[in-house]
Amino acid sequence: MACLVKAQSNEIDTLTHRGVLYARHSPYALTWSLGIAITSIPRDIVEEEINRFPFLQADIAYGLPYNFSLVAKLNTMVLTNRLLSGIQWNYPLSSFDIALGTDIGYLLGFVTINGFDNSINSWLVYPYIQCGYHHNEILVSVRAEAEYITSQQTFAGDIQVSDTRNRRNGLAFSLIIEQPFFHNQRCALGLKISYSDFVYQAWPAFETFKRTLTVPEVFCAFTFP
Amino acid sequence: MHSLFPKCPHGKSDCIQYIAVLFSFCLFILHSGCIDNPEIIHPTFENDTIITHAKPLQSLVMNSTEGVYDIVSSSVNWGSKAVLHWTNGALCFYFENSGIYAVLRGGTVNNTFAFSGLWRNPLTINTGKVQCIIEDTTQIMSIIRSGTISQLTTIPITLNILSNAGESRQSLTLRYARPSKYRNENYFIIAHRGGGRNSDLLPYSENSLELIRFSQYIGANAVEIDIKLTSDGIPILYHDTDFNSRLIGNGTLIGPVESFSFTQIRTFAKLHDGSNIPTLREALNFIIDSTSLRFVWLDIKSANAMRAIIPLQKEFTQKAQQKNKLLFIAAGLATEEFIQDFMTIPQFSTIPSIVETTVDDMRKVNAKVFAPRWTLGTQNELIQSVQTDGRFAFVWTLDDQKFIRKFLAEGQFNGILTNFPSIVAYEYYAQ
Repeated sequence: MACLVKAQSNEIDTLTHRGVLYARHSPYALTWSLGIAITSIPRDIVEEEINRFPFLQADIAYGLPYNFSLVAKLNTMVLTNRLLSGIQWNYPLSSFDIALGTDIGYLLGFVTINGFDNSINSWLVYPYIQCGYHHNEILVSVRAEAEYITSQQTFAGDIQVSDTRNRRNGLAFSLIIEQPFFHNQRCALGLKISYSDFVYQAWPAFETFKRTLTVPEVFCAFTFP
Repeated sequence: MHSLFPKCPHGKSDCIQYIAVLFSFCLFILHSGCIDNPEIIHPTFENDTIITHAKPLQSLVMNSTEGVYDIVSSSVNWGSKAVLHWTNGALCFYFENSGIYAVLRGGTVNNTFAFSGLWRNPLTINTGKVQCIIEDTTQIMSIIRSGTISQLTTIPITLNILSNAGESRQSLTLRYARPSKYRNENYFIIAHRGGGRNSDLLPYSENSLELIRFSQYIGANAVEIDIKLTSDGIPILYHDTDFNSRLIGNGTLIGPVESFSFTQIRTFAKLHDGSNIPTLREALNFIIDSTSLRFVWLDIKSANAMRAIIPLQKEFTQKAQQKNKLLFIAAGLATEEFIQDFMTIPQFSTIPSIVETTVDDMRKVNAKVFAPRWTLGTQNELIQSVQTDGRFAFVWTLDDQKFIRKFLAEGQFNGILTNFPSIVAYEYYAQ
């Protein structure tokens, strides 16, 4: 019986240490993924100047003892760059894993549009709760996160256009599947729906109009090792 | 254990099935447009008896009551002051907070002043109906007839305000404080894209005729409109390079504007508000015949449109003069390329133009207006040197209230191009 439990545990560890975005990571195991994310921003806001460029997305996770993990994420398309890093703790429940965590992010962007030399820098906080389900070689995660802007400044040339402090920005919900793809290669696919006032991917639009937007994002990535 | 997914009968590689399913779902979400972002519900006034039955006020009443008003009590947070302004017979208020505006129509019904209209916060989706009823007008009329306008401070004006959905009724009371300091001065509040962008969720589409009319009520006395050329050489009002879902309500045309003839465009493309894409000829006719706008900035979006625009510019400047209407129409030259093209036109220096690049370029083409972007600052010395030549200086595109206030207080410009004319109108008239 003990052997069986041990075997099951090893199977789950082998599985989970291969999931990057999953709620649980095996201690001292490093996993990472690289892919693209495409966000559908309402066209009336971004107009012609800002096309819907896909973002390069990199995720990395490192398992720690006592069910803790370090996680980091980079979204970049050169003109807009967001780096998140944080810590999460998980609680395993049979085929499920529940995780709580917080990411702290920094956003840096710079672009020249119509002669305006625009830039942004921002500090962001994302507390989240995530529920994972693992079955065979498939890891399914559902995640809910809040987004807070702790500090955000936008500039046109040397002129500071806005200065935002400590603002609740919105919520986001994600569905992520990590699974085998081809031979030993695994992949992650996700859909994220954000409901927020400020959409970082559309920051160059400098929208003066205040409204809360529902913005879908899909991403796909290859996971390693 | 019950499986979340159907078991892959042929091994691991069949998990591609799952990918296909998820990807299809994601693409569906992205492209089906099934996620609706907030839309605004604009009030309608089809059966409004005040608007249909009231008689217009005398111009003496309108002129006397224009000015700055204190908000003495309010259940809404629209600021502590408002500007009252009459435009083409419409009673317009511009409030201190965020350029909230109210546009009312009406006049005299028996011995009552009665007005009905809409209010809007231009920075949000908040809007609704508003009414203003002054039941006994004897006192107001005797003050106005006696010319003792300062006594208007004793008369409260109450606005009854309904929110978007009409579920809450609130009120706001104003009292006359003083006349507008600059109300007779020649200053241009220029509405971008004929009144604002589609993203500002105005009642009409950007660069449409009805938006040009509406721009006057929200504070503009001038408009900037975008000009593209059809394949058969007709200048039309359109901003983007292509026909797209941002500007066109029905997606039957796809591709560059210049690829389609005017007939094709008129037949197959409607703006989001259901109206036709206007030609420049229709727009200039409309501005002369149906508005009190005093300046038209033609923002030329393609160099090949220049030669088609200049004759219309001349024709409608003459038409305005024949109708004794003060209207200035100028061609916008945004880039060096446009300036070079412009200089190939015979007698280019006699054609009214707006140069956005440098003062040297402005002098080279003898432009009537110099229009630098706002991020270059107030540039007071430079602007004064432009004005001593008898030219105007406009700044673009100012939307933020704190910068609008700064440019009005510290700058020397003759006009501001903005997506929010009501903010500029409040800040300008309440100075």
